Amino acid sequence: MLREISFCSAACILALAAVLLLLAPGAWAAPERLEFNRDIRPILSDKCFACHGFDAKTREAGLRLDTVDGAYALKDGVQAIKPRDLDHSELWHRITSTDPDDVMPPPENNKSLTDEEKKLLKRWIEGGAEYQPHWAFVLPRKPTPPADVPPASVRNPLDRFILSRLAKKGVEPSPEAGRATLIRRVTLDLTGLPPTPAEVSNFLRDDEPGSYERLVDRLMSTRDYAERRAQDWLDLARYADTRGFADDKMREIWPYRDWVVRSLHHNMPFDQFTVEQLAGDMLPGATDEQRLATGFHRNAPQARGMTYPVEEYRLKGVTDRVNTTGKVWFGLTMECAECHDHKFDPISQRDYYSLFAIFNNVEHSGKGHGQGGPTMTYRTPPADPDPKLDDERVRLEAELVAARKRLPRPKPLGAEGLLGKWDAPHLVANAGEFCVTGNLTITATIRTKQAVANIMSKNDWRGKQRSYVFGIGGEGEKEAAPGHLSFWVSSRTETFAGVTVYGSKQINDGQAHEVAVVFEAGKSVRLFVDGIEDTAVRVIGKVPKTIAVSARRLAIGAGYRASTEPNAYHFDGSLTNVRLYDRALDFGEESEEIRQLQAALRKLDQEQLLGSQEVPAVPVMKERSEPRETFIHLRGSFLSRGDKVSPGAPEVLLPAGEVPPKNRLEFARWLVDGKNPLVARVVVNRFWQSYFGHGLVRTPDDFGSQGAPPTHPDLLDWLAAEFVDSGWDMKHINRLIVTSATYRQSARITSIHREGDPKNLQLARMPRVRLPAEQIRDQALAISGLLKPSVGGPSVFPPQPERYWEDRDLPGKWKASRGDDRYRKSFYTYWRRMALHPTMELLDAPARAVCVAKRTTANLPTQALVTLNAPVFVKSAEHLARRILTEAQDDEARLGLAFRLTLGRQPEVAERTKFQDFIDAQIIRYEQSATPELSVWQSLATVLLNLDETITRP
Amino acid sequence: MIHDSPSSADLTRRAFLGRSAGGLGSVALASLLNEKLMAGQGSLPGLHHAAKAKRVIFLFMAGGPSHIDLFDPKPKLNELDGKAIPQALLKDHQQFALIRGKPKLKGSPYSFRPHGQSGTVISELLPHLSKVADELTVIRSMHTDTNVHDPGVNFMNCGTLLGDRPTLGSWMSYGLGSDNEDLPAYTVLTSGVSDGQPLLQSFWGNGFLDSRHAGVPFRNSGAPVLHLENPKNVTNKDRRRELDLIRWMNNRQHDTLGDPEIANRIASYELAFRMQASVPQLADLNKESEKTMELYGADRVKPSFARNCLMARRLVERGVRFVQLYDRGWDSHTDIDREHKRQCSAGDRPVAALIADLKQRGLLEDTLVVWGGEFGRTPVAQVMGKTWGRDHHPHGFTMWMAGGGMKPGLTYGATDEFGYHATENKVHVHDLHATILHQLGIDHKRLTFRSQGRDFRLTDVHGKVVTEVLV
Repeated sequence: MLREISFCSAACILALAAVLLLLAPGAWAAPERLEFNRDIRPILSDKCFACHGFDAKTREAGLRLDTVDGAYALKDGVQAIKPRDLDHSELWHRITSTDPDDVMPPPENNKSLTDEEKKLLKRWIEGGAEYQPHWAFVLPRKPTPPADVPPASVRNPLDRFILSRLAKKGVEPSPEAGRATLIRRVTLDLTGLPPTPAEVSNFLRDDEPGSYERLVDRLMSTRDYAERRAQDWLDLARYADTRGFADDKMREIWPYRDWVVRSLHHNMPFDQFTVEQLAGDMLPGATDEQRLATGFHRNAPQARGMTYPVEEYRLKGVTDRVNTTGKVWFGLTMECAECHDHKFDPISQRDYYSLFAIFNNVEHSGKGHGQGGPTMTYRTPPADPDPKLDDERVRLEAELVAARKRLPRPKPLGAEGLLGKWDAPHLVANAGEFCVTGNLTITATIRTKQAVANIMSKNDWRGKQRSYVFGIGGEGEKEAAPGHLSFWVSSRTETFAGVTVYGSKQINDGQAHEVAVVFEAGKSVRLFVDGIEDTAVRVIGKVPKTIAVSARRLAIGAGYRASTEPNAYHFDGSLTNVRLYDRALDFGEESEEIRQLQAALRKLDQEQLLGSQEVPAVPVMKERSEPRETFIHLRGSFLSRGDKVSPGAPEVLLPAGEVPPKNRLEFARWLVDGKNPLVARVVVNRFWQSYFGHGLVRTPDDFGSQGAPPTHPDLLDWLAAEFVDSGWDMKHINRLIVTSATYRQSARITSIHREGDPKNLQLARMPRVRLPAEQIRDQALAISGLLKPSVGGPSVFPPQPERYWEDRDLPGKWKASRGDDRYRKSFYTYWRRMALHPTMELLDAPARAVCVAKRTTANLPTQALVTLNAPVFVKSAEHLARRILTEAQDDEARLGLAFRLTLGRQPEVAERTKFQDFIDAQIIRYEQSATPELSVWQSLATVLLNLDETITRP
Repeated sequence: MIHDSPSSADLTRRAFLGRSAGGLGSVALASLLNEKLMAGQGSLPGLHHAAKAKRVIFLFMAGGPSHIDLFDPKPKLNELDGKAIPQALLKDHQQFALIRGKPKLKGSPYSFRPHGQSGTVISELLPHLSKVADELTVIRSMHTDTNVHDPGVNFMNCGTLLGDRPTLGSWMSYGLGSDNEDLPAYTVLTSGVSDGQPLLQSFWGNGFLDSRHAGVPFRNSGAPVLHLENPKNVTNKDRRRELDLIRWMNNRQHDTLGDPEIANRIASYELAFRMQASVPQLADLNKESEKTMELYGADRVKPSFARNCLMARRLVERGVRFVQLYDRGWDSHTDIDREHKRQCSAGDRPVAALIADLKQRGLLEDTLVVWGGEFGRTPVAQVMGKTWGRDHHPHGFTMWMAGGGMKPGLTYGATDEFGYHATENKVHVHDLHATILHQLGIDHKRLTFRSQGRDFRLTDVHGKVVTEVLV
């Protein structure tokens, strides 16, 4: 019986489908005038250009079909194409020949023409065989948005292009999606996170005109928006925390990642964004931020210094820069021209190597096992001032003072172990005095504005008389932090064998501070400021078991610089209460109350520190003073040098008579001078792709003749021109896209769509898009309340399966983060090129060993296992369950909350019934469990987190 | 121009036709579950020619085994032992990977003799393999493009040094699809001694192909596939109940929106559920006989190369297309005697067992077994104190194949009298790839994927089928 019913309904639908099949295509396939770029070039390019194209070396019979001159040329009385004369067009005879020796393309090439293609070529020749220059190499003009569309359906000019095309095809656009869908769609797209139930209900209540636009503006002003856009950019920038190749070591390039977020947050214009990343180091008076931006091309994979042949691997780095630049700004497959002239596009091997010459002047080879190439010491900007944190600090500090006062009497430092006490700079007469060799404590009260000054020294490293020195700014050494406490101690005088410690706090603010260093031999060094331990100190080296005896006399308020006299690092300001002890004093023995207050302050410190820290060796670009000579590498081999080439740009992109750029800076500026036909198109196309799943050009990294022609060329050109006109305003273009009526359409697929335009080229509906890897995880964390929203800083290590690296023999160890760092956005997960975190890898995030312009998205059982069983999703389900149980009191309310949190909507009646049945069944199942209610709701949360509706952008 | 997943249009139609009022109907779901979701149906509409092999087991001897000490005896080298290497050998290429200065020729201390009816010559280090010598097709004239490990492994897998393209197994999965829907089409097993050469994601990478074609590395600890096990306190029955509700919800969504991807999602969850049963069954060796365990010299639980060889048989038995075993520890720079003996004593017996076992089960005829490393080792010694070894050597080395339509008992190609350059019937890695694909019924020039405007293939613009080694 059942079988019959389903057969019957299938049959009815089959019949219906047959009718639709007959009707639908006519509506979509309205005949249009032939256009060379859209209809003919793709055929010629794919089937003919490899032998009759731009590459002279492989050109057969001297015939080229990629130019009008070549195609029309009369040779030995034969013409490949004679316009309007099929009989005298040799091409036509060859492609229709049945003789295997004559027919083109030759059968052995496996590239036969379809009948449809032959028909098109016939129509084209008969119609005059008109050529057009390849569209992408012609500067876009700004077309007028079509006027022949119903104004009511138009939200902004973008819609006119879409609607006009749909109208010609006789197809209606889809109606606007429901408001609950809209807010979920736009919030996920713009911020990578789902809207909260409160945000949804506010939006549903706001029926004032412009409510959607206000929502968009709010979302675009968040850091989340910048992080989400940065995620796409970092795929292009092949940003990762490791260098690539087998040893795949870490390098601290994350400040570059944060630079991208800051720049996008502040909506840096794209021309500036380009120039700073490609050549920020070469800008006159380059700031630290501008130099940091050049980390972009230091993301090129770098091999170990001893990987032989070193030169080959250095060149691979340069090649990667050229190829990446080609993809990101030109949308061209430059790499094809590494070994020979491009087969399909007018890019010669010489063009390739002139671009190579632009990028050939930055060192980029490993040094032994370590990182090579230029680096900078970078201090991250302080976190955005959070007044709440400041208020909290004031309150805690006041309480601490009060608590100290409440102590019976302040614990005196006492005289036990006290070796000396001074109240001003001083030089001890005898070098044999104060030779502490074990535990040691130095305290002082200081007030100064100096960045570098010694408090106490028995140390002269240049004079090979090392011992101990306590002060500010580490005697001005490169790795020291000016204005911060510093302490060095060595167990040998000749060479350094010990530890250097730098405080995390600025201490030279002209205020009085109680400072101390406590050295416990072989164990620890601790710094204290105003009675509070600095827990964020930077410790380099190993704490020695002894301290060397130096021949220098103990100097208070000064130091030694290759001299027997204290000749340097003099302390200006007030230096009092300087004490030296030969034991490790314990400042911690105070009341429990004080300990707690101090812990709270430390935590606050760390929160604020997240935004400000010094990173010693961030890879950046720095131009060699003497440019390298660049040669063409024959067949791409580093051993076969051809002609020498000068820096430049691909000829096809240089307007006639224009002087080619000579270095990176000129090149970067030339890219965004507004006269390049590709750059703006390529960029706006990727913006489009990030909302619609596909670009208007569906091959975002190939705008050449083998790429897909734009589905809406006028729209693409309008957006590109608008982008340049707006001053390269990225937020403006993104905003235009998400506020368009096209974007707001329903995603429902009807039979009309299905049969007429299954690939949705005409955008008569909004496509649904599965969330990227990062967003699938982040959403689960956000819904359950686990997500920690802090921005920036070193990458974090959310737990990964045991022995994941070890089993593959990868160097290093994954030390899982503790506390909040386990639940930060996936964007901040440590990105290892040779073994990406499996949650990311399994959900299709790229390892970023090379530039990726578009991710692939699969739909696999191994992915289902991730969201069902991976610990982070299990934990999220558990937390979501707890949250539901705490925040709502009965099944009905809880179910409503669960749906609103996960899906941004209320359950429908049928869903309520079905889920209630599920709850009832699970209650019986978990009756015996220790936490029956939690188990039931965790099970339900698992269901919700795994729905197609949940992991798909609606 | 755009490659969508080959089945999506199909699915649309099927999902649409099969829909009934209660959601995605049983007809549609049944057909979806038959849909080759794990690897896809295979992009090739049909084979280019009759296939001799249906599947491949690639035994990857990572680090580079010494051809001179295992398969390619060089009396001349023994004669000249201790003499400086002739300069003529070095003139047209780069220097060694690690050896510096003026290295000396080093003959093999191991004895060789012909085995079986074919008289295939094998070193005393491989007594078990010698017993199946008549099954082997030994190629002594392999050569590759690099003497660095990871680029070398990449090259052997995907034909490029950088490893940014699909690997052999991915191409097979993409071209042929899978014969088993409950298991990944392309599985990677690892074993051996860690010698500082990591196993990189690119070694089983899918490059620009859809990620369903990536190799799935089986783990040696815990469940073989990541996240295969239900969280604690969740039984299969609980999971089934959850999945039923997920499916019910997804059906509703499909009804409302008509998005074919939802039908795919439903199927992928069902398959995940089935994998949770099929993979542990696969990895459970308790039903293997004592005799088999002994043949391989494998433990039922403890990870080893031997156990992986047995797993390889179980995988191909179940229709898995491509199984790659990495056996690490062959990079014998300074103590080849100890290290090669260690590798051989762990690997000789199970490899011979695998061949014998495949044969007795009738699987060898359509399973192609490939053995080799990313390169061979130098005829000159790398001396370290009292011991010596050999450096990386890409210009001439040995690989062997068995089954899958290879000419058994054949020794093909030759290196010069030093074992330095491949000289006779040279076989490049691209040629090896072309030959493997050929045996699978695929013309290597016609298995292509359009990426960035170009039709890419495993063999790039190179490769020729070595027909002389085929039956």
